[in-house]
Amino acid sequence: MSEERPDPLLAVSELEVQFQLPGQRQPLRAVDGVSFEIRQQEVFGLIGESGSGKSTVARAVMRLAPIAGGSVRLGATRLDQLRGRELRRQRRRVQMVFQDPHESLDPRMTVRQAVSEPLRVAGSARRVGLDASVLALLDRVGLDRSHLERRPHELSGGQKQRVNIARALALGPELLVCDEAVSALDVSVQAGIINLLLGLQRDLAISVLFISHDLGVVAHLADRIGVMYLGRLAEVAPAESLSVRPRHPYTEALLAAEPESRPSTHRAPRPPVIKGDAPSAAQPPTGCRFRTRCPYATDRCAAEEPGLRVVAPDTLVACHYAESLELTGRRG
Amino acid sequence: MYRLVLSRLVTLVPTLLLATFGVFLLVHLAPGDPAVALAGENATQAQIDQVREQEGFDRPLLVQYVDWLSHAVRGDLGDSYNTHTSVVTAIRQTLPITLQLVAGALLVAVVVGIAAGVASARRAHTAADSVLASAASAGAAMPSFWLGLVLVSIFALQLGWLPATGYAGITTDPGLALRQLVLPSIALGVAGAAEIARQLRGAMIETLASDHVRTLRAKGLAERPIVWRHALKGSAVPLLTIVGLQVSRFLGATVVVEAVFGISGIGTLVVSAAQNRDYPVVEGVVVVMAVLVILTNFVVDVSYRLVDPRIR
Amino acid sequence: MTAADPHLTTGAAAEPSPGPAVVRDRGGGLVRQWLWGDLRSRVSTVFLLAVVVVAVLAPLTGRYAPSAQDFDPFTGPSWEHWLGTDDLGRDVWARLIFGARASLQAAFIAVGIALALGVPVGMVAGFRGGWVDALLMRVADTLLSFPGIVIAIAITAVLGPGLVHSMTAVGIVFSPSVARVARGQVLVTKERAYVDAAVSFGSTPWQIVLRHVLPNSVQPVIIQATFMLGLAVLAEASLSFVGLGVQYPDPSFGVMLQRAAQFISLKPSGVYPPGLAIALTVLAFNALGDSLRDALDPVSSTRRRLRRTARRSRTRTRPAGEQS
Repeated sequence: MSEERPDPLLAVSELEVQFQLPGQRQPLRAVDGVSFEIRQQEVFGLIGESGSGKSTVARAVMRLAPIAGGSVRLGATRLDQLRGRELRRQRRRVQMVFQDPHESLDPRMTVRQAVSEPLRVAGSARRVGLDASVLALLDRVGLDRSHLERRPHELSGGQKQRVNIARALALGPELLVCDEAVSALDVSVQAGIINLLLGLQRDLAISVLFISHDLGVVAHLADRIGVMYLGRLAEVAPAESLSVRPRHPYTEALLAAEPESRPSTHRAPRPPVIKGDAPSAAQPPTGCRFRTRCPYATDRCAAEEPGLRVVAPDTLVACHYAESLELTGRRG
Repeated sequence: MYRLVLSRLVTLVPTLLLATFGVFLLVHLAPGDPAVALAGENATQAQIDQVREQEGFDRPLLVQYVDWLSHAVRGDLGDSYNTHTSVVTAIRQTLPITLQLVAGALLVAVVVGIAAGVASARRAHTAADSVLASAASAGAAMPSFWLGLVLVSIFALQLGWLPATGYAGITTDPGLALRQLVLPSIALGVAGAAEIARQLRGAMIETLASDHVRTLRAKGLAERPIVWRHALKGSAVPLLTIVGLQVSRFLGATVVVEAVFGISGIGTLVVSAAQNRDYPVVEGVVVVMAVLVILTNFVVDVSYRLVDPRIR
Repeated sequence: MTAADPHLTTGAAAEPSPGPAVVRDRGGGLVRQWLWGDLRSRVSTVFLLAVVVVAVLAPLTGRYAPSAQDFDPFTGPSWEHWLGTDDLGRDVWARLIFGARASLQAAFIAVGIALALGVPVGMVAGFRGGWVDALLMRVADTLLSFPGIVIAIAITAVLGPGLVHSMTAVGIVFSPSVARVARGQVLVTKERAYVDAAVSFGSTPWQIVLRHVLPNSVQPVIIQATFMLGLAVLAEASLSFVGLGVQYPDPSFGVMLQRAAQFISLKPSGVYPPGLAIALTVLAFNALGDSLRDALDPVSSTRRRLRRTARRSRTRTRPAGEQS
């Protein structure tokens, strides 16, 4: 990586998030030393199984989860060290679209009230200007005047999510965090929202952190993808090369688990699928966390935890055998 | 088993302390000077000051509380401001009477409540059930002292079957006492019966529809023992809870019911004490009631374990 | 994109039209559903409205002054005296109307104080959590387990007898249960995603409470307040009956009941007007509390309605004694 790149928008370094479970002495290390960057005007996808810690990373970046260690830098600002009024002021630079479109809207508020709330909180509330701003935001997400006075229970899932997106854009954030933003929607509706997000990212020249468990969706959307497993990153690579030539056995397994588009046409032998159950996040395996389900694991994997290192241009992998393994990507 | 009892006893103590301290605080934060109240209306300033020093009203509140507590555990609750006799004596004279009344009410509530509850559970969703349900909600809405008045009006005055007022005490004249207890017990107990019937009906309907009971029926067991022995046992836990709650309810309602029937129980005592601002008596009664309620909860708690071994 | 999901129908059982399956739950629709939804709530609303109007206009509707003793005592109902006269020759109807005024005032004082004390305490407990919450709830639970009347009497002993003092005491006794309900709602609401969203805009805790937590916590509190109005009427009656509430000769339901009780051997029927007034008022408040609960929670009310219609159809087709 020798190119001169402008400074990243978001730089997460050795992020740690812990939760104290009732009755357990050891805290649960949901995020255990995660480092990655999001560049200007980039869509960064973060994928993993449930329990991988991906949503927790998102919430930590949003300062909605307690940060136990590491740093989160937005531009020049250390987000993790902010408090009080300064924190509230900087919050507007990172906004979130939540997973459940219904739960993220106050059932007693109309669309107008919901979308204008961030503006009113920020103090930029002057009656005339407010209404115009709200309408402009609704227009951006494909809604119109007729939706203004409706309440959440009078909207469909897709419409609600559009409202959420409009609201998230109200303060003009530099980074938009989408936490499983389409997972709760019908498949037919997902495409619309995804295209909307792509269009917005382009038009507004913002960056997006897109969290999902669905690799298929993320591969479409993202410029670069990070793969999380049990609180740590397994691989970070550009979306295309990740799909075609994964470098981490977990990524390979995720790709192999995708449903085939034309099963009958492929006769090549399938790569080994993940065996076994996910280990407990509270007590991860020693050495490489994935070794208990990895078909390529050796003794070295049990003894030594692999660090995230550069193995190809713009590609980082946490595996001892990243260079030597010939892993199969998506076919067709 | 003993460990359970002990652990429950341990939680008793802080609750008791909290309750008694609360009462003490309440009474001593009163507007109005306790020294004045004790010395009487016509006392001179010098007499008032003397009383204040004697009783130690000028000491910090916490010290007064500890002092009071140390007397209380030895069975001394102070003296009444009005009669200047021991509070404990007054309570000892009136409490047993109230307890007899509460026992009577409990009997009515449990017997009628269980009978009605079982009856409506067995005839669930039928006309009889609706009738019983309406009766239950009517019984719950009626204030017990009004019910008492109505009962007196009909059964004592118009029909002359039972005495209207007064209570001799079970030891003095058991025959008369029992007859005197009938109307007050009914008045006090009906609301409790309605609650018990309602809860029991719900619990039993569930139990009667359960797989356990279905198996018993399939094995050919007659309906009677199924209902009375097995289903009732299954509903024992909520039943115990409700009965425990009713005791607390009765202790409250007894205040008014005693007034209706002219029974000199602890309710009458505390009311007249309140009217005369006789703080030590009020304090004493509240403490005694607190102890009774806490004891009742304790008994209910322990009996859960006896009835249903699954409960820890 | 459709606004309503056609698959949201309730239940599979074939029953006769169960009424509107979805509640029009905003603004006028809600209030109408609450006060006018079924026969029970209509009757209760009309009754309470009548009581309030008559009580407010007491000087007119009472026909006589409640203290006027110019008439023969213990007469029965007649054209001059709709409910007869009492032991001192006063018109019972007049005393009942003015008594209703006092009793309603009493109820509102008690509930007002219970809300003023209970809601803030409950909100603080729910929001702060931790030891503050644990301590406050411990105190609340301890208070709740004791017979309320006795504590009210104790507080009245301290403050002195009278309408305002005794009802303040009752309000204090009611406040722990209000606090519990408010706290429960806060706990639920503060976990909601829209609260997270509000935090992410940079809202201050105050803004979050006022804009989101409070409005969404208010419903169960209002339901409880409705039930408490009925309980407060009962409490006033009890306390006045023993002489600690409204002071004789001022009329109230409790005072009238006490006088009637005193002279019960001379006029046994005297206990009925105040007693019935109390019972009907309490029943009406309870009915409105129930219908409010139903109006605000369409799920449980639909379930109840289905059960009722199922019961009705079952009694028509199956003989009594059979179980499902």
